[in-house]
Amino acid sequence: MNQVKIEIDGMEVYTEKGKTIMEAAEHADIYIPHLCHHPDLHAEGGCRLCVVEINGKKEPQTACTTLAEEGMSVNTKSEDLDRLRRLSMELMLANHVDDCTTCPKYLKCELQSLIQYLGVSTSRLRRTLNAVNMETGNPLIIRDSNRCVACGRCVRVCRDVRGVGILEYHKNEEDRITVGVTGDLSLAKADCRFCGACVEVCPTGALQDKKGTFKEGNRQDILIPCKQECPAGINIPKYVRLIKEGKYEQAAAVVREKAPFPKSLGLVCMRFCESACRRKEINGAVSIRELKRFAAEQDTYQWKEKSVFKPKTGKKVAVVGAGPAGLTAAYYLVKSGHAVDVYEKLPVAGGMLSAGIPDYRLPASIVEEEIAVIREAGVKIFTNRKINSLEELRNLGYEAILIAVGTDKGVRIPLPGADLFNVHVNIDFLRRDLLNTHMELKDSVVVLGGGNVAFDCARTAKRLGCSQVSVVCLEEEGSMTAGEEEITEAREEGIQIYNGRTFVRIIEKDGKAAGVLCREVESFTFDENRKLILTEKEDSDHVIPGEMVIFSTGQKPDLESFEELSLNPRGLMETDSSGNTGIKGVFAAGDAVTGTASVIQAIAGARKAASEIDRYLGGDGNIEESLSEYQEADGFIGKSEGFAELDRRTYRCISLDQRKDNFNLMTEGLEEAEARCEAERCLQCDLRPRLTRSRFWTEYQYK
Amino acid sequence: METERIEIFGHGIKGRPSAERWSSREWKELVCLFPEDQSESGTVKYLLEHYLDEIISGMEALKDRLKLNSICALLSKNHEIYEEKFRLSGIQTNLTDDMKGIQKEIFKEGILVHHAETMLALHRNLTDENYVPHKIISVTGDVMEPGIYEIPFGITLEEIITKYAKGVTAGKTVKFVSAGGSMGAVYGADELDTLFTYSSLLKEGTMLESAQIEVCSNDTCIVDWACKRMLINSRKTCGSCVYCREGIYQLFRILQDAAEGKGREGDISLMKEICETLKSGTLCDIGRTAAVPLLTAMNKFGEEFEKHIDRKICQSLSCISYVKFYIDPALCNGCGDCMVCPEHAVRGGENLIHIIDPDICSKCERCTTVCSRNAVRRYGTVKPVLPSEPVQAGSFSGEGNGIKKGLGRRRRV
Repeated sequence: MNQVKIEIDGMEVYTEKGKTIMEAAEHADIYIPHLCHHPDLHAEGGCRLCVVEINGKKEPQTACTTLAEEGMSVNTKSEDLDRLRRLSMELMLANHVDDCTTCPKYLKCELQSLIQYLGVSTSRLRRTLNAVNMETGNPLIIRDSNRCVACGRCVRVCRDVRGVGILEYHKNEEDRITVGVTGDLSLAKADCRFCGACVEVCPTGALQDKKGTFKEGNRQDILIPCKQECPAGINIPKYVRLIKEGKYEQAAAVVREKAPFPKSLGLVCMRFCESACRRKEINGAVSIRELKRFAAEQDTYQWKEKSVFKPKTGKKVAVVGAGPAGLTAAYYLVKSGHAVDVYEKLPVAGGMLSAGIPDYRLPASIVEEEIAVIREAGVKIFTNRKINSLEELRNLGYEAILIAVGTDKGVRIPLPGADLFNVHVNIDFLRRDLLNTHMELKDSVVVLGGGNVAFDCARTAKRLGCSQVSVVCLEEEGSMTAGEEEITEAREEGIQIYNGRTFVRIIEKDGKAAGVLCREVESFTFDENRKLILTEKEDSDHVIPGEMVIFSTGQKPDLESFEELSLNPRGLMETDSSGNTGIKGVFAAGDAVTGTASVIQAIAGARKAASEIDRYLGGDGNIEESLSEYQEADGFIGKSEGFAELDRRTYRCISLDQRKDNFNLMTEGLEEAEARCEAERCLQCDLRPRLTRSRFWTEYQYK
Repeated sequence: METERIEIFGHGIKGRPSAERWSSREWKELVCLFPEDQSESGTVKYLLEHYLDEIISGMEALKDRLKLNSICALLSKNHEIYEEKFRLSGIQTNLTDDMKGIQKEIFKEGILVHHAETMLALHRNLTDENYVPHKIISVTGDVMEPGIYEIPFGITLEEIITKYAKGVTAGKTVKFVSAGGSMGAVYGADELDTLFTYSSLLKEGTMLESAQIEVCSNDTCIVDWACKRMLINSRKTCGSCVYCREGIYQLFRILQDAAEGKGREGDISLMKEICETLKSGTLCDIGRTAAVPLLTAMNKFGEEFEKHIDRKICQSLSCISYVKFYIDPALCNGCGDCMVCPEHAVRGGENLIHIIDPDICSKCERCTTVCSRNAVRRYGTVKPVLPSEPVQAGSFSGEGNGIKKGLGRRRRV
């Protein structure tokens, strides 16, 4: 028989053989005070708060170290026990900061809740605390030894659960025992893995996350910042770990679970994940996008076997716009059993992926490859097919319509001279071949604007042979919206960047543009209506010459065909968080809702809309699927010498000579060895929420 | 087995015969310890210097009898010079500079661990028909000849002091004896007939892990002594259990306050509570025995603790907070060396008896150290008769100067 019956405070409790009294009590929801005990750690019995009386035993025993035996009768409450517990608490508190209110753990502290439970004060003891400074020099983790009660949980979790073992009991200058890092090294020097397990199990304010490391919110979410920040919620730690283990196609499948454009994302994702990555506080975020690119390149499409296709529903859905939003939604709707037709006004599908982002960043062939998978799933795409009204679609028998037209109308700021010949807007310029617009290329080009699209225009112009290309923008260097690498690479290619200017007018010469009259800007802000307020420098007018001027100062959606839709002041569609437009059966997603954003946001929005449309059509709205194998992550990560020094690896640009005059992909992703090394840098934040959260006494039924 | 007849006591096995241990299970390897820590270094050095051959012979004998695969000596780095000797006898050695740390690791299945002293005892037992178990002890404190002695089990503490250490320091009497190193119990002067055996010493909680005997004479203040003991013992904690880590140090702090005039009502019962809790509430022998000296001292000299805490009196004039300094007029030769006083609390002049103003004196003891006549003395509750003004050295008779006797003799209620 593997079960034993014991009695705790008169209650019959059954537990498995080999379990401790504490485990039996936990299971039965009976509270026995404890501090050094943690469900995930081997018991030590040092704090003596869990002492209990057992029939037949003369002295009180610690519940966390005593095995439950058949017929045992355990008493958890008595005056004697209370005296023992209180003395232990008093002794700990004599060596602990007096004031709880200044502690970041205030009201979230196990020690504080125990003080309350036991009703302890330290007045009869001598204060033994010799205050030392808080240690704030380490990345991510703050140590306040004044709040440490040396329960040893951090020591045990680091050594026994993580296999890192850099925390220990050691003596300070006064020969008093404290918990510290082996050899008194900095965490980085001691080869800390920065997994945060020590902070997680600390019952006091002695170990804390640095302020700002995590956002507020649900613990399971916030503790994995990369995943939380990814709009599509891709399970980043999982695929990074799979890459580390050499399971590349599994890694690709993980990305696939949330986004049907892994390869494109691997090249152009805005990587919100990386800006949240905790590793950036040590020596640069993990190159998550590059790892995704690497994984996607290794994809063997074996995940297709697991891909779920629900039975046909006979319902028809129309999607307007074949960009990342439209195609993502179409893909998931087809998988949900609906018939989906996508209408695209351009001759190619892909939206900004193929008609916007230049080929040197994202080759059309890669986008086509990804669209082929979507077509294969059953999505019908009609190109060169502009939809002129909702009515038109309704007449074709569609029960649901998704508007995902994106923002492809470049904004032309109404400056004097803005309508001159040779003055263009960004999207028209980038799509010049598709739209068959005649553009006379000039030697000198001025691009107005400081975002990624402005740089796409400038670098495209350069590649087309324009010798003098300038980017002029309002923002100072460092606050431009374009990515840092984009700016650096553009400079390498010989593009001149002018920061902190406002545009006054476009200079005319012989009826054509000849340059832009600019003025320097002291500072700028936006008021509550998002209206720009400028402080200009006096007498700072100057001309930046250019025979061709390209506005890259934002885009709007082209929604003229859909008069029924309500638009907000920015000209974007109003929807609820699931993409409902307010008109029955009409939904919207992507840039046309959010304003010009990112591919991953478009995908995330489209997933929500697809789910909502499925529900609207009578489905359960569940588009989640599991394409990768279950991963039992090993929490015993072990020590890794020089872990904190592992340098960030990222993509390489091909040499200037080879890239400046053509549209071939200009980056090379990580090699296999590099990818595995980069994956090795991951702090594995997803391990921390797997630790059991310790419960406070208030959470037990019997206390 | 022949070994069953061998009656020797293992070092640190709490008085159980070693033979019991030998026959308890199958042993593969013997590790012989030469532990070096503050209190034992003397005896280990003594063993190495005097009995290395005998110890090696004991180890070899045990190897033969228990059919062990190998034998090994665990030595501190300081004793490297003895390595050669072991090597010549074909015994493996393991040198370490972290004796404490390594001792935790060696206890493994199949490994028999013994102290060198046990091996010596084994050798003697096998070679001497009339063998009487001996223990190597060190005697320190107020005795004529402190040192390391080999004593037979079963003699009294009194005999150890008189026969081996040649009696108490001249002019002093025994106040108490502490047996068993820093964690050993205190035996009052009336308990010197206690037998030096495991069983009788264990009664008080002494483990004899380190066979150190400290003899303290009447001018030792028990509170001050216990305070120092608790500080030493607080440093032995590994930190795992709260009572040991915080409790011993708390005891030290309370005693420190008691010695400095900051004792509080309830301190005695608090200390007793902590001591009793330490005995049962800690995970190893260090915690369980750390407060034994204090607890036994409180049981035997309770009144002295009370006087310190409640009445701020130190009879032995050892706790500086409770004493004042004076210059003995009978001894002062008027040399003026004591005028070095940084507080200018000393008055006097050439060939005059110097006088300390207790209101100014900061008790720095500069004068005590410079006085060649040893004339700077302490007084407690009773102020001695002193001249009111510096007078000619040698002229003070101590009579008729109108000084009130018995100041501060009133008892507090």
